[in-house]
Amino acid sequence: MKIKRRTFLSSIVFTFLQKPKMKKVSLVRQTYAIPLSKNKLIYDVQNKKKKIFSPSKHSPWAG
Amino acid sequence: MIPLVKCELCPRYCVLDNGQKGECRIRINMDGKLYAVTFGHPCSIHIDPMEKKPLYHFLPGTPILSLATVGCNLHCKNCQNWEISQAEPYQYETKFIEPENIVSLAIQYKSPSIAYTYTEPLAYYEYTYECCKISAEKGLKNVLVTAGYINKEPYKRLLPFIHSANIDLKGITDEFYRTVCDGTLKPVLQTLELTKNSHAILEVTNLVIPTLNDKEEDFQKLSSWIAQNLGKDTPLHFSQFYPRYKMTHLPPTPLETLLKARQIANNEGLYFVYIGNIVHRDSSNTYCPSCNTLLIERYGYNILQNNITQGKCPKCNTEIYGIWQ
Ligand code: SF4
Repeated sequence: MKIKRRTFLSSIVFTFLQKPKMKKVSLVRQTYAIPLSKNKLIYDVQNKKKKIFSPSKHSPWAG
Repeated sequence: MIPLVKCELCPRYCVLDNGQKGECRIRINMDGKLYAVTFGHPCSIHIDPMEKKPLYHFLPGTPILSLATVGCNLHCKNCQNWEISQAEPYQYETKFIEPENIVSLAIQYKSPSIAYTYTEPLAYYEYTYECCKISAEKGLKNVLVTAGYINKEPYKRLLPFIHSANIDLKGITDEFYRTVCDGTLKPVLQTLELTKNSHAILEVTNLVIPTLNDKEEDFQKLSSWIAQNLGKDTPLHFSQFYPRYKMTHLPPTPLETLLKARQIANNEGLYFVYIGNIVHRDSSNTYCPSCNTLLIERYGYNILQNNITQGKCPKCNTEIYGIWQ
Protein backbone atom coordinates (compact mmCIF):
# COMPACT_ATOMS: atom_id res chain seq x y z
CA MET A 1 0.00 0.00 0.00
CA LYS A 2 2.80 2.35 1.01
CA ILE A 3 4.68 1.68 -2.17
CA LYS A 4 1.62 2.30 -4.28
CA ARG A 5 1.05 5.72 -2.70
CA ARG A 6 4.66 6.69 -3.37
CA THR A 7 4.34 5.65 -6.99
CA PHE A 8 1.18 7.69 -7.32
CA LEU A 9 2.80 10.78 -5.79
CA SER A 10 5.92 10.49 -7.87
CA SER A 11 3.87 10.15 -11.02
CA ILE A 12 2.17 13.47 -10.20
CA VAL A 13 5.54 15.13 -9.55
CA PHE A 14 6.88 13.65 -12.76
CA THR A 15 3.95 15.02 -14.72
CA PHE A 16 4.53 18.53 -13.33
CA LEU A 17 8.22 18.33 -14.03
CA GLN A 18 7.54 17.23 -17.56
CA LYS A 19 5.06 20.04 -18.31
CA PRO A 20 7.59 22.91 -18.53
CA LYS A 21 9.81 20.76 -20.71
CA MET A 22 7.05 20.44 -23.24
CA LYS A 23 6.81 24.25 -23.49
CA LYS A 24 10.51 24.48 -24.27
CA VAL A 25 11.50 28.00 -25.36
CA SER A 26 14.46 28.47 -27.63
CA LEU A 27 16.87 31.33 -27.20
CA VAL A 28 19.08 32.88 -29.85
CA ARG A 29 22.12 34.91 -28.81
CA GLN A 30 22.99 37.88 -30.99
CA THR A 31 25.55 40.61 -30.46
CA TYR A 32 25.15 42.38 -33.76
CA ALA A 33 21.78 43.43 -35.07
CA ILE A 34 20.59 43.36 -38.68
CA PRO A 35 19.90 46.82 -40.13
CA LEU A 36 16.24 47.30 -40.91
CA SER A 37 16.01 47.66 -44.64
CA LYS A 38 16.25 51.14 -46.16
CA ASN A 39 12.95 52.86 -45.92
CA LYS A 40 11.13 50.32 -43.87
CA LEU A 41 9.95 51.92 -40.69
CA ILE A 42 7.97 49.80 -38.32
CA TYR A 43 6.26 52.74 -36.75
CA ASP A 44 4.19 55.84 -37.48
CA VAL A 45 6.10 59.02 -37.00
CA GLN A 46 4.73 61.58 -34.55
CA ASN A 47 7.07 64.51 -34.94
CA LYS A 48 7.13 65.47 -38.62
CA LYS A 49 8.62 68.92 -38.37
CA LYS A 50 12.10 68.33 -36.96
CA LYS A 51 14.91 69.31 -39.31
CA ILE A 52 17.61 66.65 -39.25
CA PHE A 53 20.54 68.46 -40.87
CA SER A 54 21.35 72.06 -40.07
CA PRO A 55 24.88 72.76 -41.28
CA SER A 56 24.79 76.44 -40.46
CA LYS A 57 24.41 76.22 -36.70
CA HIS A 58 25.95 74.24 -33.88
CA SER A 59 23.89 71.51 -32.34
CA PRO A 60 21.61 72.43 -29.43
CA TRP A 61 22.54 69.07 -27.86
CA ALA A 62 25.35 68.45 -25.42
CA GLY A 63 28.33 66.58 -26.89
CA MET B 1 7.68 28.80 -32.02
CA ILE B 2 9.55 32.10 -32.46
CA PRO B 3 12.69 32.09 -30.32
CA LEU B 4 13.61 34.64 -27.70
CA VAL B 5 16.63 36.75 -28.61
CA LYS B 6 19.33 37.64 -26.11
CA CYS B 7 21.20 40.79 -27.13
CA GLU B 8 24.83 40.59 -26.09
CA LEU B 9 25.95 44.05 -27.21
CA CYS B 10 25.87 45.70 -23.81
CA PRO B 11 26.02 44.56 -20.19
CA ARG B 12 22.23 44.66 -19.90
CA TYR B 13 21.88 41.42 -21.89
CA CYS B 14 18.21 42.04 -22.70
CA VAL B 15 16.22 38.90 -23.43
CA LEU B 16 13.55 39.87 -25.96
CA ASP B 17 10.32 38.20 -26.86
CA ASN B 18 9.03 38.51 -30.41
CA GLY B 19 8.21 42.17 -31.13
CA GLN B 20 9.90 43.38 -27.96
CA LYS B 21 12.47 46.18 -27.90
CA GLY B 22 15.55 46.34 -25.67
CA GLU B 23 16.19 48.81 -22.87
CA CYS B 24 17.84 51.08 -25.44
CA ARG B 25 14.53 51.12 -27.42
CA ILE B 26 16.32 50.70 -30.74
CA ARG B 27 17.02 46.97 -30.95
CA ILE B 28 14.09 44.67 -31.55
CA ASN B 29 13.36 40.95 -31.83
CA MET B 30 11.46 40.47 -35.07
CA ASP B 31 10.59 36.86 -35.83
CA GLY B 32 13.53 35.55 -33.84
CA LYS B 33 16.14 37.90 -35.21
CA LEU B 34 17.65 41.03 -33.68
CA TYR B 35 17.21 44.18 -35.77
CA ALA B 36 18.76 47.65 -35.44
CA VAL B 37 15.71 49.90 -35.74
CA THR B 38 17.49 53.22 -36.23
CA PHE B 39 20.21 52.04 -38.61
CA GLY B 40 20.52 54.79 -41.22
CA HIS B 41 18.03 57.05 -39.47
CA PRO B 42 19.89 59.84 -37.69
CA CYS B 43 17.60 62.26 -35.86
CA SER B 44 20.20 65.01 -35.75
CA ILE B 45 23.23 66.00 -37.86
CA HIS B 46 25.25 69.15 -37.22
CA ILE B 47 28.65 70.62 -37.80
CA ASP B 48 30.17 71.47 -34.44
CA PRO B 49 33.54 72.70 -33.28
CA MET B 50 35.78 69.91 -31.98
CA GLU B 51 35.96 71.72 -28.64
CA LYS B 52 32.22 71.20 -28.12
CA LYS B 53 32.53 67.39 -27.82
CA PRO B 54 34.64 68.26 -25.68
CA LEU B 55 37.95 67.21 -27.22
CA TYR B 56 40.88 69.49 -26.46
CA HIS B 57 43.71 67.19 -27.56
CA PHE B 58 42.41 66.15 -30.97
CA LEU B 59 42.61 68.34 -34.08
CA PRO B 60 41.93 71.59 -32.20
CA GLY B 61 39.91 74.25 -33.96
CA THR B 62 38.55 71.94 -36.67
CA PRO B 63 34.87 71.41 -37.54
CA ILE B 64 33.37 67.98 -36.96
CA LEU B 65 30.26 66.51 -38.56
CA SER B 66 28.28 65.18 -35.61
CA LEU B 67 25.31 62.84 -35.66
CA ALA B 68 23.01 60.73 -33.54
CA THR B 69 20.04 58.44 -33.81
CA VAL B 70 17.57 58.27 -30.93
CA GLY B 71 18.12 55.79 -28.09
CA CYS B 72 20.47 55.04 -25.23
CA ASN B 73 21.17 51.99 -23.11
CA LEU B 74 21.51 54.06 -19.93
CA HIS B 75 18.74 56.13 -18.39
CA CYS B 76 20.55 58.87 -16.46
CA LYS B 77 18.15 60.97 -14.45
CA ASN B 78 20.23 64.04 -15.26
CA CYS B 79 20.47 63.43 -19.03
CA GLN B 80 21.15 66.71 -20.83
CA ASN B 81 19.85 65.30 -24.15
CA TRP B 82 16.94 63.24 -22.86
CA GLU B 83 14.56 64.43 -25.59
CA ILE B 84 16.48 62.29 -28.09
CA SER B 85 18.35 59.80 -25.91
CA GLN B 86 15.25 58.59 -24.10
CA ALA B 87 12.91 58.89 -27.09
CA GLU B 88 11.23 56.12 -29.02
CA PRO B 89 12.19 55.91 -32.71
CA TYR B 90 8.65 56.84 -33.81
CA GLN B 91 8.91 60.22 -32.11
CA TYR B 92 11.22 61.62 -34.78
CA GLU B 93 10.73 61.67 -38.49
CA THR B 94 13.93 60.69 -40.25
CA LYS B 95 15.13 59.96 -43.74
CA PHE B 96 17.27 56.98 -44.58
CA ILE B 97 20.88 58.10 -44.98
CA GLU B 98 23.39 55.52 -46.16
CA PRO B 99 26.70 55.44 -44.24
CA GLU B 100 28.40 56.43 -47.54
CA ASN B 101 26.29 59.59 -47.65
CA ILE B 102 27.26 60.55 -44.09
CA VAL B 103 30.90 60.35 -45.17
CA SER B 104 30.17 62.38 -48.34
CA LEU B 105 28.45 65.02 -46.22
CA ALA B 106 31.56 65.32 -44.03
CA ILE B 107 33.74 65.73 -47.11
CA GLN B 108 31.33 68.23 -48.68
CA TYR B 109 31.37 70.40 -45.55
CA LYS B 110 35.16 70.11 -45.17
CA SER B 111 34.98 68.29 -41.89
CA PRO B 112 38.07 66.11 -41.39
CA SER B 113 36.28 63.94 -38.85
CA ILE B 114 32.90 62.55 -37.86
CA ALA B 115 31.52 62.36 -34.32
CA TYR B 116 29.02 59.75 -33.17
CA THR B 117 27.54 61.60 -30.27
CA TYR B 118 24.54 63.32 -28.55
CA THR B 119 22.81 60.03 -27.59
CA GLU B 120 24.68 56.71 -27.40
CA PRO B 121 26.71 55.67 -30.45
CA LEU B 122 27.38 52.26 -28.93
CA ALA B 123 23.64 51.56 -28.82
CA TYR B 124 23.22 52.45 -32.51
CA TYR B 125 26.36 50.33 -32.90
CA GLU B 126 25.86 48.96 -36.41
CA TYR B 127 25.37 52.41 -37.95
CA THR B 128 28.37 53.77 -36.04
CA TYR B 129 30.44 50.78 -37.19
CA GLU B 130 29.53 51.06 -40.88
CA CYS B 131 30.05 54.83 -40.98
CA CYS B 132 33.39 54.50 -39.16
CA LYS B 133 34.65 51.82 -41.52
CA ILE B 134 33.82 53.79 -44.66
CA SER B 135 35.03 57.08 -43.27
CA ALA B 136 38.39 55.56 -42.21
CA GLU B 137 38.77 54.11 -45.72
CA LYS B 138 38.29 57.63 -47.12
CA GLY B 139 40.97 59.02 -44.79
CA LEU B 140 38.63 60.74 -42.34
CA LYS B 141 38.85 60.39 -38.55
CA ASN B 142 36.17 59.00 -36.24
CA VAL B 143 35.26 60.28 -32.81
CA LEU B 144 33.07 58.64 -30.18
CA VAL B 145 31.31 60.63 -27.48
CA THR B 146 29.98 57.89 -25.28
CA ALA B 147 29.08 56.58 -21.86
CA GLY B 148 31.16 53.48 -22.64
CA TYR B 149 28.49 50.98 -21.56
CA ILE B 150 29.29 48.11 -23.90
CA ASN B 151 30.69 44.59 -23.78
CA LYS B 152 34.33 43.96 -24.51
CA GLU B 153 34.09 41.97 -27.74
CA PRO B 154 31.96 44.40 -29.80
CA TYR B 155 33.96 47.35 -28.52
CA LYS B 156 37.25 45.74 -29.54
CA ARG B 157 35.79 45.16 -33.00
CA LEU B 158 34.98 48.87 -33.37
CA LEU B 159 38.15 50.34 -31.83
CA PRO B 160 40.49 50.00 -34.83
CA PHE B 161 38.33 52.57 -36.67
CA ILE B 162 38.20 55.06 -33.79
CA HIS B 163 40.75 57.88 -33.65
CA SER B 164 39.55 59.66 -30.54
CA ALA B 165 36.92 59.28 -27.83
CA ASN B 166 35.49 61.33 -25.06
CA ILE B 167 34.09 58.86 -22.55
CA ASP B 168 31.91 59.88 -19.63
CA LEU B 169 32.98 58.63 -16.25
CA LYS B 170 29.77 59.70 -14.60
CA GLY B 171 30.75 58.76 -11.08
CA ILE B 172 33.33 56.59 -9.39
CA THR B 173 31.02 54.36 -7.37
CA ASP B 174 28.82 51.50 -8.50
CA GLU B 175 26.08 52.96 -6.34
CA PHE B 176 26.09 56.18 -8.39
CA TYR B 177 25.75 54.24 -11.63
CA ARG B 178 22.96 52.09 -10.21
CA THR B 179 20.92 54.88 -8.66
CA VAL B 180 21.43 57.72 -11.15
CA CYS B 181 22.16 55.98 -14.47
CA ASP B 182 20.47 52.59 -14.17
CA GLY B 183 23.79 50.92 -15.02
CA THR B 184 26.98 49.66 -13.41
CA LEU B 185 30.48 51.05 -13.11
CA LYS B 186 32.74 48.13 -14.05
CA PRO B 187 31.99 47.93 -17.81
CA VAL B 188 32.68 51.66 -18.13
CA LEU B 189 36.09 51.30 -16.47
CA GLN B 190 36.83 48.43 -18.85
CA THR B 191 35.92 50.57 -21.89
CA LEU B 192 38.14 53.40 -20.63
CA GLU B 193 41.10 51.05 -20.24
CA LEU B 194 40.56 49.42 -23.64
CA THR B 195 40.46 52.85 -25.29
CA LYS B 196 43.57 54.16 -23.56
CA ASN B 197 45.44 50.99 -24.53
CA SER B 198 44.47 51.46 -28.19
CA HIS B 199 45.84 53.99 -30.69
CA ALA B 200 42.86 56.33 -30.02
CA ILE B 201 43.23 59.58 -28.10
CA LEU B 202 41.12 59.37 -24.96
CA GLU B 203 39.60 62.23 -22.97
CA VAL B 204 37.35 61.73 -19.96
CA THR B 205 34.37 63.81 -18.84
CA ASN B 206 32.86 63.88 -15.38
CA LEU B 207 29.60 65.82 -15.04
CA VAL B 208 29.55 67.19 -11.52
CA ILE B 209 26.07 67.00 -9.99
CA PRO B 210 25.45 68.86 -6.73
CA THR B 211 24.94 66.47 -3.77
CA LEU B 212 25.37 63.33 -5.90
CA ASN B 213 29.01 63.16 -6.99
CA ASP B 214 30.51 66.45 -5.81
CA LYS B 215 32.32 65.43 -2.63
CA GLU B 216 36.07 66.04 -2.41
CA GLU B 217 36.44 62.33 -1.80
CA ASP B 218 34.67 61.62 -5.14
CA PHE B 219 37.03 63.89 -7.07
CA GLN B 220 40.04 62.40 -5.33
CA LYS B 221 38.99 58.81 -5.99
CA LEU B 222 38.09 59.47 -9.63
CA SER B 223 41.30 61.36 -10.38
CA SER B 224 43.50 58.82 -8.68
CA TRP B 225 41.82 55.97 -10.60
CA ILE B 226 42.51 57.81 -13.86
CA ALA B 227 46.12 58.57 -12.92
CA GLN B 228 46.80 54.96 -11.95
CA ASN B 229 44.89 53.13 -14.67
CA LEU B 230 44.82 55.43 -17.67
CA GLY B 231 47.90 57.54 -17.07
CA LYS B 232 48.52 61.08 -15.85
CA ASP B 233 48.47 62.41 -19.41
CA THR B 234 44.75 61.56 -19.85
CA PRO B 235 42.81 64.83 -20.23
CA LEU B 236 39.94 65.17 -17.76
CA HIS B 237 36.99 67.57 -18.08
CA PHE B 238 34.83 68.46 -15.09
CA SER B 239 31.55 69.68 -16.57
CA GLN B 240 28.91 71.89 -15.10
CA PHE B 241 25.52 70.27 -14.51
CA TYR B 242 22.29 72.04 -15.52
CA PRO B 243 18.95 71.01 -14.03
CA ARG B 244 17.41 68.78 -16.69
CA TYR B 245 15.10 65.80 -17.16
CA LYS B 246 14.36 64.15 -13.80
CA MET B 247 16.75 66.37 -11.88
CA THR B 248 15.25 69.80 -12.20
CA HIS B 249 15.21 70.12 -8.41
CA LEU B 250 19.01 70.42 -8.22
CA PRO B 251 20.90 73.68 -8.84
CA PRO B 252 23.64 74.11 -11.48
CA THR B 253 27.12 73.19 -10.26
CA PRO B 254 28.78 76.21 -8.64
CA LEU B 255 32.02 77.39 -10.26
CA GLU B 256 33.86 76.94 -6.94
CA THR B 257 33.03 73.21 -6.90
CA LEU B 258 34.45 72.76 -10.41
CA LEU B 259 37.59 74.69 -9.49
CA LYS B 260 37.98 72.55 -6.36
CA ALA B 261 37.62 69.39 -8.48
CA ARG B 262 40.28 70.67 -10.85
CA GLN B 263 42.61 71.45 -7.97
CA ILE B 264 42.19 67.96 -6.50
CA ALA B 265 42.80 66.28 -9.87
CA ASN B 266 45.95 68.35 -10.34
CA ASN B 267 47.10 67.30 -6.87
CA GLU B 268 46.57 63.67 -7.90
CA GLY B 269 49.10 64.30 -10.65
CA LEU B 270 46.87 64.68 -13.73
CA TYR B 271 48.51 66.96 -16.31
CA PHE B 272 45.50 68.23 -18.22
CA VAL B 273 42.40 69.08 -16.20
CA TYR B 274 39.71 71.36 -17.62
CA ILE B 275 36.36 72.66 -16.55
CA GLY B 276 33.54 72.79 -19.08
CA ASN B 277 29.97 73.90 -19.85
CA ILE B 278 30.98 77.20 -18.26
CA VAL B 279 33.29 79.91 -19.51
CA HIS B 280 36.35 80.22 -17.28
CA ARG B 281 39.38 81.21 -19.28
CA ASP B 282 42.29 79.81 -17.33
CA SER B 283 40.64 76.42 -16.74
CA SER B 284 40.14 75.73 -20.41
CA ASN B 285 43.74 76.41 -21.46
CA THR B 286 46.39 73.75 -22.02
CA TYR B 287 49.73 74.22 -20.28
CA CYS B 288 52.93 72.23 -20.69
CA PRO B 289 53.14 69.68 -17.85
CA SER B 290 56.94 70.15 -17.70
CA CYS B 291 57.57 73.90 -17.92
CA ASN B 292 54.03 75.33 -17.57
CA THR B 293 54.22 77.27 -20.86
CA LEU B 294 50.81 78.23 -22.24
CA LEU B 295 50.26 75.87 -25.18
CA ILE B 296 46.65 76.47 -26.22
CA GLU B 297 44.51 79.40 -25.13
CA ARG B 298 40.77 78.86 -25.51
CA TYR B 299 37.71 80.99 -25.03
CA GLY B 300 34.49 79.00 -25.16
CA TYR B 301 34.82 76.88 -28.28
CA ASN B 302 37.37 79.24 -29.85
CA ILE B 303 41.11 78.80 -30.05
CA LEU B 304 42.84 82.12 -29.36
CA GLN B 305 46.37 80.76 -29.74
CA ASN B 306 47.94 77.37 -30.38
CA ASN B 307 51.67 77.19 -29.72
CA ILE B 308 52.10 73.43 -29.96
CA THR B 309 54.79 72.70 -32.52
CA GLN B 310 54.86 69.27 -34.13
CA GLY B 311 53.11 67.85 -31.10
CA LYS B 312 55.63 69.35 -28.69
CA CYS B 313 56.01 72.25 -26.29
CA PRO B 314 57.88 74.99 -28.21
CA LYS B 315 59.93 75.86 -25.13
CA CYS B 316 61.06 72.57 -23.54
CA ASN B 317 60.25 70.12 -26.34
CA THR B 318 58.04 67.91 -24.15
CA GLU B 319 55.73 65.75 -26.23
CA ILE B 320 52.08 66.63 -25.57
CA TYR B 321 49.45 63.87 -25.54
CA GLY B 322 47.13 64.26 -28.51
CA ILE B 323 46.79 64.47 -32.27
CA TRP B 324 47.41 68.06 -33.24
CA GLN B 325 47.13 68.13 -37.03
S1 SF4 C 1 22.16 47.17 -26.59
FE1 SF4 C 1 19.98 47.55 -26.11
S2 SF4 C 1 18.95 45.62 -26.51
FE2 SF4 C 1 21.14 45.16 -26.43
S3 SF4 C 1 21.49 44.52 -24.30
FE3 SF4 C 1 21.93 46.72 -24.41
S4 SF4 C 1 20.01 47.77 -23.87
FE4 SF4 C 1 19.51 45.62 -24.35
